[in-house]
Amino acid sequence: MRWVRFSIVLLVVTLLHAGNLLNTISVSSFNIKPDLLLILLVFLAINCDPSEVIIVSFAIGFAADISGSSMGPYIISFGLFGSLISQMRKVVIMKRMVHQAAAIFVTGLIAGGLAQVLAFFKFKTGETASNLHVVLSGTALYSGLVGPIVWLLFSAISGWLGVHKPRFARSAKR
Amino acid sequence: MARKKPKLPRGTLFAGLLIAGLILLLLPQNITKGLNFLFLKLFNPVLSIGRSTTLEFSTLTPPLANFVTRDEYNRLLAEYDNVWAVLRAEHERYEKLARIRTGLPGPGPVLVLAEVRDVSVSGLKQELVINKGQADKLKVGQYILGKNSIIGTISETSETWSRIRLLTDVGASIEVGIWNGKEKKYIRGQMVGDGKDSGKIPLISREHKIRIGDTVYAAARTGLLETPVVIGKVTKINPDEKRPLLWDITVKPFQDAQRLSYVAVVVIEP
Repeated sequence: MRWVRFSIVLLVVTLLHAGNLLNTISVSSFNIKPDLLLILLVFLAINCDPSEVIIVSFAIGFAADISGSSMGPYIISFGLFGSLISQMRKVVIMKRMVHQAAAIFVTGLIAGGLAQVLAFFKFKTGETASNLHVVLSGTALYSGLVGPIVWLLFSAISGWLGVHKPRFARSAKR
Repeated sequence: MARKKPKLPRGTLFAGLLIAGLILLLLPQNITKGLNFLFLKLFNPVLSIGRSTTLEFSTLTPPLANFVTRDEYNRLLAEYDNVWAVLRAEHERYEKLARIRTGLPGPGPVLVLAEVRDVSVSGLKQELVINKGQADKLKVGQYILGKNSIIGTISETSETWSRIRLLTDVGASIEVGIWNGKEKKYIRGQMVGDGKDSGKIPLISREHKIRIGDTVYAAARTGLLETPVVIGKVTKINPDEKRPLLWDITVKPFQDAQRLSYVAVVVIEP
């Protein structure tokens, strides 16, 4: 992994994630839009070396937190689930678009849910969003649908990022 | 000779980063909020790309002299309702003062004008970030005016920036009064955001006569709001499905807060 280049990509994705530009493709009255940081997390967790995935996952979590309104929930959530996906890829091959979309959807649901629980503990306000499940599942679903397309973009820059070819690609050629 | 990179064991690296994350999570929000505001300040020009705001009214030419735009109509209507609320409050105050003067009048509220620097709208949070903070005597809980109507309250402040929770945010809860013109009194309630573009007022008995179009005001609160200020209109009223003796009231705020460029913070000097 080329860390300076990764930092640039992470910054660009974070600005897109936190900015207003993606509002143009948001859907429903809840303003649901795809979570680009989540897609980047799953992409790198599947394609990077396991040691690098740990740093990458926590870094993406940090980016998600700093662009939001509280520090901590996403660092832990993305850090845990990024590392978990990295371990899972030994058993589940995520080469097909459907699998990638499913991985993004499931990670979005669980990691997003965990982040919300942690945020709830941080603020201890007793507030729970009544439409939390709608927003979480909507964001995860939208990210899953858009994910394979964004995946292609990330794949195109993976060489520049210094991301190694995934192991399942080499084994598939044999 | 190639230098070998020092490599941490994976478990140590993971545990170290997880502990760092936990520390950040456990640190009080007062300490960590600086990082969030710093990010907003640094990248504000990029983050605001794609944000749509209203066109200034003065730049528009109305098609007919007797007509105004919907935006201007809402602004004038809110102003009119506010004047009435102030008049009513002044009338009540006069009646009390006519009998006995209890104390010296305090200084009036000050409006601190602030520029909207960022808008964050989703089903989970609806907030604005403004470029005024504790340095301008802004505090958590203060009310925000957007073109004469209340649009939210301050939820977090730093030295120079503040975060506003809009009334439509799911976590927003504000004491309101629905003005009943016939009975000449406010029907008190608590308005909560629905996470979309409206608010809901639950737990209002069906004994009260409330109609579509009734004006909803933010209730006066000591130290925060001297007189009731308009929020919006009742747009829907149905019997509560779960509790048939209560109303399910939907309130549409006058202003689409996401499109505002400037807001005013109501600061009342102690």
